[in-house]
Amino acid sequence: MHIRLRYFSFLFVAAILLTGAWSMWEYYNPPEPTLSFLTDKPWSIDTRLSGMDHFRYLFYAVAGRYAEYAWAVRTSYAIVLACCIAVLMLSVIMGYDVVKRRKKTRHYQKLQKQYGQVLRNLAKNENRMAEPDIAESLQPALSTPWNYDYKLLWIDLFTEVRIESDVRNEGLANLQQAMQLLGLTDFMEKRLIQGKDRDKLRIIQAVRLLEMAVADSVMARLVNHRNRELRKAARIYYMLVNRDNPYRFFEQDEIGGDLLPWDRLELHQLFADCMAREKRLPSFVPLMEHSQNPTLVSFLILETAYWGHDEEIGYLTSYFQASHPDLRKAAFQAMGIRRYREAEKELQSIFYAQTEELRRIILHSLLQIHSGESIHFFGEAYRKSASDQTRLSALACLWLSGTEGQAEFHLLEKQAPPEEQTLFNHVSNARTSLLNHLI
Amino acid sequence: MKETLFDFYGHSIFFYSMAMIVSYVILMWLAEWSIRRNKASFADSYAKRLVNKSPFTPGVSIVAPAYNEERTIVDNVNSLLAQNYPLFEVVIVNDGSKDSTLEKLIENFGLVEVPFAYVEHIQTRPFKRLFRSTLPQYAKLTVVDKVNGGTKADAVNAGLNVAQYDYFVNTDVDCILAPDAIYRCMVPILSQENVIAVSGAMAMSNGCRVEEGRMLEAFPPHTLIPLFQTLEYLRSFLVGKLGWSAINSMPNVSGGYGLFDRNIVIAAGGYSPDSFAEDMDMLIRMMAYCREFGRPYRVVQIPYTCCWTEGPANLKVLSRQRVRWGRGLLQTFVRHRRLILNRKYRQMGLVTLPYLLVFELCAPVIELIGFLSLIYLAFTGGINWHTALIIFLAIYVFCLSLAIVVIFYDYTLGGSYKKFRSYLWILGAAILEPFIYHPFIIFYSLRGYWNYLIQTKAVWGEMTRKGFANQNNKKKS
Repeated sequence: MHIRLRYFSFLFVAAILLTGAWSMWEYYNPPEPTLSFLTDKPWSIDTRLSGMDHFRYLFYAVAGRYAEYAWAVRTSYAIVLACCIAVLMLSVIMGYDVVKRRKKTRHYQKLQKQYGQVLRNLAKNENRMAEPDIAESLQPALSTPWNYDYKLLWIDLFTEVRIESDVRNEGLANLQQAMQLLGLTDFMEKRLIQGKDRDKLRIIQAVRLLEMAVADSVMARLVNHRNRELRKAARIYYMLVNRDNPYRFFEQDEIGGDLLPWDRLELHQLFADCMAREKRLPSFVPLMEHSQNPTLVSFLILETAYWGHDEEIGYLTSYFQASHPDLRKAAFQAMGIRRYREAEKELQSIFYAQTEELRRIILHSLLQIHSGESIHFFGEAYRKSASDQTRLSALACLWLSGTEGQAEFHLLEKQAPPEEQTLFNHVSNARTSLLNHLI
Repeated sequence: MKETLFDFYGHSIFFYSMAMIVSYVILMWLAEWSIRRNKASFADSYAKRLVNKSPFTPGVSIVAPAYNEERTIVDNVNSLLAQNYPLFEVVIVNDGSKDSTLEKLIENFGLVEVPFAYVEHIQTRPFKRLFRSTLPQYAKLTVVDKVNGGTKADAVNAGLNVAQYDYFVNTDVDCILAPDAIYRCMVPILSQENVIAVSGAMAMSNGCRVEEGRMLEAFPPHTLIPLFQTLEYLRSFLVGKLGWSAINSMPNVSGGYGLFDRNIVIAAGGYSPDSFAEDMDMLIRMMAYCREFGRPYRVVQIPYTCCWTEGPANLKVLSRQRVRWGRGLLQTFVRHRRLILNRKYRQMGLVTLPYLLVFELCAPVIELIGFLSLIYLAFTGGINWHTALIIFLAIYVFCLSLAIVVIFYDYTLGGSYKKFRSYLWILGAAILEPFIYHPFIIFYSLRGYWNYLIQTKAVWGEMTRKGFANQNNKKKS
């Protein structure tokens, strides 16, 4: 990129300098007219045009129009003409987009009107419907030969119904059956092999949402695809459906690129979906041990807190001593998310070795654990902390720790110097959401 | 000598104009590329489901300063609260309003004063009070009352000191936000690396049907000045910013609507209260901070209309706004002159700022000289009228085609207006703009430069608002 930018800048500057030099040269040494082929009309009214003559005539009509004018006019004419052609091309592309978008919207609305309710009924049905019943409800659709774009619209409709109703089990099975009957399952598999990258991506998302089973062999081509987004989506789906070694990409420390916030959202949802399908999740500990990427490890620490076994949570305490602050932060947060009482004493003991931000996270986690055994610790944190924000957090934790905590809070309030009363007032009068913001 | 001077001037202007036209075409194509590249690779419903359900969804604070906004404040706060994003708060900063803005807020949203230990991450004029609502439906609303700082920047800084989330939206309280404005801007932050600011497209709310802070139906303004501004906004967002965004060289995220990384803004020193173009100044400082500390960054423009704002409805208010912008532009260049053509600042130093310097800052001066030369040459008979007419027509046709592309863009992207008929008004504005509106804008910019050069006392004029409620009542009656 650096080199390309440098070359580009060099070419740009060189072009400007050459044009400038040429213009100056021409200005001081006006050339003899050399464009005679443009100025001398090659055609008369009687000329019969044939074959390439039409193009030659057009060229003359465009290029020769201002041949007798000053070079400034000729150049500006050429530039403006080129720009107008570029703009025209752009307009055509956009015009095509408008037509395509309108057509798609119209078709989708028609589809939604005709079959939206039918699909919703299928999704809401608490019993698994028989194939003939589903076929009957979809009757006109089954006998219509849908084209490629229409099939993609059908997939969008199924996805929409699925998200809208957030169905599971029988309702979802009915939807899957309907897709099978409409030939969409085969279509999706075929598209995953032959389609455009963008279509493949959308199909993978649909397949994930509709919890369909696509053969491993189909996904095998995509999990190492050169398109980063597609590769990532494929690997995430692979984890959901594969029974053999679903988390091999985690083990290789390659989920397909850097872990973006979006990936965190997707992976968390994936694990939630796995839990809903009663599928076993990976053992996060070896993955964390194996990975060298702190962003991935801190994400896995948090996921362990959400989905991991108790033994795994115990293991997370080893990250309290990690040198990377992100890992420590995630480990402290994990204790709070999981309300892991066994770590309470250890959290208190390492509190003073942390930065102010991490101290506030420890306070938050201790509050979430809510054992009632940290009340004195909160008071001590208030007294010993240098940062006003940490002191506020400690007071907020006291205030939210029930009657005993509030008694300690009032005791501290009485002892506090007048300039610190604002902190106490802030906590004791603030609405709950503002307290959440403090901790 | 005189002839040589005119010749030299003529050639310079010629190259200048041609370069400008070519740059616009390049920007148009870059904008198209940007749209195609950023086309969401996931279905909206899928993305919304993830964002709504995940504990990893980042929170967003909407910071909106209010100064003498009693006519629209209630509607507008309702609009800000109507976002369909799972984790957000609205921080209204009452910047020492002299009218009943604060009283209206207290009365309509059931606010009570709560003690608050104000932490001044960025220095501001004194903080006075903080209000929260007693009504659960307004739990996301916080109102800060502070001493008037004379600038929007000071009020936004106060809002940042109170905001609790890592990202914030900087908007004006007169703005009506689209319900999914935050969601749209968060998508690039979630799905791309190192995004520090996202700009959403804006449109004029003059003439739109608004009820309780919600946009019921968008129409283009039917009065000239806001109509011209609509065209200007479309051009700026859908060609200028979108094009620059494609090569990560956005020069500005509008102060009307933009989403920022709060920590970077604070680290870069917050908004400058003494700047007349605080939005541009802030973005330049954010990018400079990132470059100086070796932090990769991206600034993204999204092609969706996220915000409708009430534009100046008459020349008096427009002149105040544009004089301030002109002054701000010059001030920003003087302040950040060390960045221009400085390799260390990469695209910003080598492309964006030099381009803006030549084609934005110098444009009014060059146009003024051109106009004066034209008059002089017309009187002395030094113009070849036929040639001049050809060049004028070529430029005019180009301006019109640019407007057509912009209109197409907006329509293609399902932008501001639903009916294609609405865009005919904007096309009408494009036909008239070079003759009616553009000369005024040039004049106001030059006045802004002049005010900066002679250091006249800065005045932030009040924006006269009509208020949507009044418009609707009138329609009903």
